[in-house]
Amino acid sequence: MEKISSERRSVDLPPWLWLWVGLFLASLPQLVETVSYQREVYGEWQQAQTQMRALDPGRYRLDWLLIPSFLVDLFPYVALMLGVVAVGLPWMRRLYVERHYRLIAPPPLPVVAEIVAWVAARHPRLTVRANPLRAAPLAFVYPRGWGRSALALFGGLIVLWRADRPAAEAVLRHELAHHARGDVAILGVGSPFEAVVRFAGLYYLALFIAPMVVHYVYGAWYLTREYAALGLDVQEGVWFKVRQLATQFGPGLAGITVVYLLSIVQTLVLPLAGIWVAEIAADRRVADAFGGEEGVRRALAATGRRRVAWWRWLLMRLSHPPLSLRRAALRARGGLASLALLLAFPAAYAVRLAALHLLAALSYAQSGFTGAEVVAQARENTLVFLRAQAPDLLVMGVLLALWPFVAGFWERLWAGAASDVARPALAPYVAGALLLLAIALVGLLV
Amino acid sequence: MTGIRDWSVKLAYEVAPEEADLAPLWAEAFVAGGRERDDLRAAGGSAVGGFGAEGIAAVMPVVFQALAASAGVVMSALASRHAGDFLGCVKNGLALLELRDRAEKAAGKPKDAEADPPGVPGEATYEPLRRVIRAMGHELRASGMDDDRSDIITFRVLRTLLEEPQGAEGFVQEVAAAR
Repeated sequence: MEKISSERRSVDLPPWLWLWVGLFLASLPQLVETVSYQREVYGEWQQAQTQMRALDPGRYRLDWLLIPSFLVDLFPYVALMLGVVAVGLPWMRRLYVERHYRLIAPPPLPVVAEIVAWVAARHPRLTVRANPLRAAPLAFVYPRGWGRSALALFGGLIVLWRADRPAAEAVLRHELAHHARGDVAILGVGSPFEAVVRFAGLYYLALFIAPMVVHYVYGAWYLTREYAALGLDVQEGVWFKVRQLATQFGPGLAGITVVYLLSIVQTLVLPLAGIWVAEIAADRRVADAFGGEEGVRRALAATGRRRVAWWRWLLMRLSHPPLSLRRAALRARGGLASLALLLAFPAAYAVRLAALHLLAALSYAQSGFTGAEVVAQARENTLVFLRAQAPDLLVMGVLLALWPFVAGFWERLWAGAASDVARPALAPYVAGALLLLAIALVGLLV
Repeated sequence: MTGIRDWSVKLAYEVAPEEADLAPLWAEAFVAGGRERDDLRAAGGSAVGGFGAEGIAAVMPVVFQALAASAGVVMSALASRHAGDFLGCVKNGLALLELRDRAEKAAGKPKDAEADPPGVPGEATYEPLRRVIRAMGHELRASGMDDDRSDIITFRVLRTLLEEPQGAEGFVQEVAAAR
């Protein structure tokens, strides 16, 4: 492995995504509880429906349409589970990645041979696979089995190698940094996210909105038929359903849609933050340890030139932070900036709390709470959240305090050797750890 | 396939020299169609563990697409008995474009996308050339390329093709047959 020789390394970020996977696995019993609760709710609903059908079989004939809606809440969790399972089965991920990106042995072109030789000189054990036809993405690392990794090269990187060699080297070093930081084994956790988010609207429409609408329309038709049978004014019945649609059913569906979106955010925000931080850490490593800051900047500029649709841009954010954020993180120097980078992942807990507050506020608003009551409840909920997350915060604080001392061992574990660089300044780690431990203590004591 | 390989390299040296290594592979993939061609157009997607999902904006696949889409007008320009005159116009136009590009960049002035192609006389004889320039420029811009770049690439591609119109016809036919 290439030895890093640099006089400075401003800050080295802990492998937060690994920590998150550990915490997620530890929280599985809670997830089981969530599923059990969902089953309980479904059981109660089914019991109520059986009683209603006994009273009026025609009116409740289409209730079975609503059964799939009970699954909708579980999709974000299914994504997390699939991601974690993908981490445990690296050969499955290899099969998927090589098939999806049509990766083959590098083509016999002089330029490709140059790149392969460059990689082999730094990481001889890294297998190289290529698809020279694709301009995007540029390159990525993926697991080929336990302890074995591969580098996927694409046409875009080959072009960049010719157009701007320092930028192309920065891209490759970024990939090698993922390898040395152990990210290669864990980043697969984010693999199913795109599928979940891409199809979130579709399955929400198919499993929830469409059945609800069909059910409602059937209910309206049934009501008018009943009105006619009883000799009542049918128009009155139609107006009743229209009013109900405008004042109850429509706003109800809109509210549930917002709840659904916020649920996805609060479920995915932590692993997403872990993925973003892993990308920023790999950039920083290239910049700090190899003096490749300009190369990373130019590589980011080269990738930023490709115009993409807004929705595709959003999907891309499931695997990478925005380029502007990466540029800012690359520039960040000094104690405060280092502290901000170190606390970027723990800060995602605050985003999660905000999403939960919004979810709760929606529910309080529906229940007719006053503004003051909502605020008081939010204060109480914050304390409950802090209490529940205190163990996570404690573990993060301890990891942050220890990281400058154990980073070398971690790297040796993945890359076979540790980088020969100066230990980063300890102050930001100590400050960050103390802050997290203090918040955890508040959570434990209140 | 030798013809298409050679022509793709020749064009790449004119419009995107850094793509010359891959241009023959890309040209063959474009002609092959199916998944091979889909790969040329593929966006990044969520490539976890990669440098970035965006990738770079490759020029040659867009040039192949533009040639295929405007093959009819390109072929008529290449087969025209005025092809030699067209070449002279394209060379002048390219020189003007490059000068104008430099001047506009220096002045920071936005370009008028609807302006007539530079260096092409208004006479009816030159209508086939005007049509080619408009059709190719339209295709290149539709791929997300900016106006200045698409104009310069259009003129460079046309200059290369018109310098050897007979050989170029076979190449354009092959690319167009892949549609």
